[in-house]
Amino acid sequence: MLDGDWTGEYRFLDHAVHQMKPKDRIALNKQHIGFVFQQYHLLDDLTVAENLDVPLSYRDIKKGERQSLVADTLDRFGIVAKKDLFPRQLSGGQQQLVAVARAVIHKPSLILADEPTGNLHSSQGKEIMELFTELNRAGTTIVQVTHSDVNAQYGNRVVQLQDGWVVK
Amino acid sequence: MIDTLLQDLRYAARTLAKSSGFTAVVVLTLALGIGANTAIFSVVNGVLLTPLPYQDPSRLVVVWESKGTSNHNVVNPANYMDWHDRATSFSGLALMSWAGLTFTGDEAERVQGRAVTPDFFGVLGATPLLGRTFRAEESRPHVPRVIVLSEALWRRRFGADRGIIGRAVPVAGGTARVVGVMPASFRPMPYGQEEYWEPMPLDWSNRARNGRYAMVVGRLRDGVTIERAQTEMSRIARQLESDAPDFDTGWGATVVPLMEQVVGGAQRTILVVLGAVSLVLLIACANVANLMLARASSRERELAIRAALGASRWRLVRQALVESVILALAGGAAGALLASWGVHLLVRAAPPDVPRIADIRLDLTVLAVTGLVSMAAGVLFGLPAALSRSGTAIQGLHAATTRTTAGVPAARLRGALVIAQVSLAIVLLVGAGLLVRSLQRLIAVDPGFDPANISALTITLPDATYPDSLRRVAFYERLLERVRSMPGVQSAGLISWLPMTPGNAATSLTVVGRPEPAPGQKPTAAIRIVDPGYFDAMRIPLRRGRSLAPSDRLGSVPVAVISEAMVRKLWPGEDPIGQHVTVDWWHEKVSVGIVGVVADSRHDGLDAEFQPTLFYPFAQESQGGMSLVLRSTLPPATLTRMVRAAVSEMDKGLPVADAVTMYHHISEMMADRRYPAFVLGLFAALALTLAAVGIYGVLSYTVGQRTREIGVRLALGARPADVLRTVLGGGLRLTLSGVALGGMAAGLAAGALGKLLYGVHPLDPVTFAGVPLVLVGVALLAMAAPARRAARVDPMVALRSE
Repeated sequence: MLDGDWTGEYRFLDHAVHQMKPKDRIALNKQHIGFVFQQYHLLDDLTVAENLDVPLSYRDIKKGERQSLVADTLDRFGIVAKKDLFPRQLSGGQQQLVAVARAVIHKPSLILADEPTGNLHSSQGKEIMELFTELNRAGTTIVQVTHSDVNAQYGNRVVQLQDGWVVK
Repeated sequence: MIDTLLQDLRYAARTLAKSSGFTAVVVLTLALGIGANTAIFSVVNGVLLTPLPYQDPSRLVVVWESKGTSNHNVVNPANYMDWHDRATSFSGLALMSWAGLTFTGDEAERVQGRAVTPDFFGVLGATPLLGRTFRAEESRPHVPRVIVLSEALWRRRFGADRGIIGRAVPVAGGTARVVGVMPASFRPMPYGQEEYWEPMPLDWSNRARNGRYAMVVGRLRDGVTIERAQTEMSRIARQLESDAPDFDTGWGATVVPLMEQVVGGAQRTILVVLGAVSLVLLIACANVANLMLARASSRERELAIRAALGASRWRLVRQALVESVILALAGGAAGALLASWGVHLLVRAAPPDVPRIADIRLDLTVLAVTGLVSMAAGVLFGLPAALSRSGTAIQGLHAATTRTTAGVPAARLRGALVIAQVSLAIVLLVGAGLLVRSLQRLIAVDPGFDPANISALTITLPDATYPDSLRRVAFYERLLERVRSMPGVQSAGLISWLPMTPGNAATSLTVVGRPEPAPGQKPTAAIRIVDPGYFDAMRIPLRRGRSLAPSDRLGSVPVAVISEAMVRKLWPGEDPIGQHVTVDWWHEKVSVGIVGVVADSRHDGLDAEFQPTLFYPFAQESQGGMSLVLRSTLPPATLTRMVRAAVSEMDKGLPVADAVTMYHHISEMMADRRYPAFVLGLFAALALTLAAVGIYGVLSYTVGQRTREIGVRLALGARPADVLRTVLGGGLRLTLSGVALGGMAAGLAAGALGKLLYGVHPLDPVTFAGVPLVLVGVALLAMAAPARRAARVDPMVALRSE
């Protein structure tokens, strides 16, 4: 949605994305999609609370409401005690937890997760996958790209790709 | 909006604090650029832009006499009176001449002043701070002496006593009654440092023409243009040519706006310096833009994440701009501090004849301009970086996660900025190089005398106590006797007008026995009054005949010694010894015999031509003010003390100016060349440093970006020398491109230096060959560290970081 380097038809929530202008696609992305990356990609110079605030500030949400959403999310993910820490002061698992919290804070319909446990210890990976399961039960669609068969098992639907082609 | 803007501000401040090295370099670079510009703009504002402190100053003019190439010649009072009576272009036309006054009392003090016609203050539209200005009757001959003080003199000598008005203060030869005090805003007229004014006695019934020595200032009537006034004055000058052909043939009149008169000489220097400092700001901005671009490239990951999290292009641009503006404002603030120091330095280093130097200060206008410049610089260097990063960020989530090197356009832009910096630095270096070479040429010029160990001081004998030649000669001869016997003084002499000091005394003369030249065609010569010891003290060799002798006194045959330039002018190929001249200004009817010829010596500076000069023996033609020259290894302060003690024993209370070395006088005369060379040299050094920082920054960044590639190359068998060559080659390509472009630009710009150059062609091959060598040398030094870092890359570490 953020780049234009593709062909074909692509529909998302009744929108014909392939016919939309880049600006509208970006707006659609902003409204409905959250990202979780393999390398967490937290902003190094911002605290945990500020990292959570970033997506909200880009959606023109008022300060009071943002503060309340950040507080709720910190509480929900059990990271209130970490709110003033910087990413470098957290473990990999904790960073990914914050990254997931950041991805869901604006209540997206869809989370795109790119190898979300690729850099984590297996026990931390398990915690993240269980968190995804919980979010999914609460109504969020999760699309996870993974090489891990174990992680794939958490999905309701598994699509196998090989060399860029759907094989199953 | 405000809330998110504050957020951007907070994040920007934190990010900048974290990258303290980057921030410091950017702020310092901008501070240097903005600081130098603010300082120079303060000078431009004070000297060129601020209106003169007189009422409706645009209507004020100076009127000169003109002849041949000399179109700013001092004025004859009778000519002035005719101008005053006939011209209709002016609502007022005042005459003034130079004057001096010795205050006596507890501490004697000699001060400079002006003798002015009573309408002088009215023409300028000036009102006194205290008291009044002059009445018409006070300019009649033989009336009690009245003076108007400047505020500075009133405060310094009279402790700002408001009761001074109407009081008679002791001056040499009697008293002078103070009638008014002019405010500090009433500045001296061109060519003067006056601290008081006195009425000029002018006999309007006597139009006898004798000597040109005054200045005329006028106010144009409403609606009258300079051109119209000039046309009228030229017409009147033609009338005077027929009315007084002996005196006025060949003479015209020139009308010059007062502002042009005040700033004229300094204008080119100031504009050249302004141009130079603008280049420094451009280099600084290019440097900062480059640093910002490099930083933007290294932050692509962060921006891609922000874009993925929903940041719009505008938000990314805004955040970048906020950072830029913070940096620009910090640079502007630091620059303002530097500027206040720089203004102080510029004023102190300025030549004494820079007009209105006392008016130069860092004022609110200049600060506002600094603010605007820094904001403009912020946008200027922030925008390319912001646009470049927003463009890549929106499309760049994929790029950010796969770590790429910088885009080709950004790399090209950075390269272009370095080339621009180097080019601009070359222009400045060439300008500074040409001026420094001019100075070298000038310093090598032989002044015609030996200035080593010469100190000089001026003594002025008041007319009241030394009214005749006999008394003056007696005083000076006794003084010379005492001074010559002082320990440490090798020789001493007297001269009426010290070489290497501004101003001149010259007049026309007639060679006895030759046909009378046509009106206006008489030869002219500089006139100096010297004692017989002057030539020995200054080591000016005698070429022919004899020198002046103590026996050349009042009552003996009038004689003079002349310079070789005068021989070349009046007696080419002939022996002047035994020839006679009559001098129009003095001894108009007396035939003066030429008894000797001395070598030429320069008077108006090392770059001046030798003037035909006639030296009178002081015992035949003395004057009150003389300069005592002393050849001694003693410091000037010691000489001053010794001479003051001797003078005090002879005439207690007679003021003696401080002794100054001849080298100091020469240096002052060269100040109008030394100053731009100093300022341009300073800016060129700054430009060179900034360009070196730019080259270093780009190469460091490139090496940082290419660490992996270099690691792969080394792993595949490349030698460190190959890597070194690659990195240095890239840097040298940029440098040489800049050198080529800058060389061409410098060739075009060098002409602007014009008269500031002496003995050096604007396309001087030594400068144009030397400057690129210096720059390439400095560039290679700047490249050394990144190149060495590249050559020392450990392939295993570089590849493992992937």
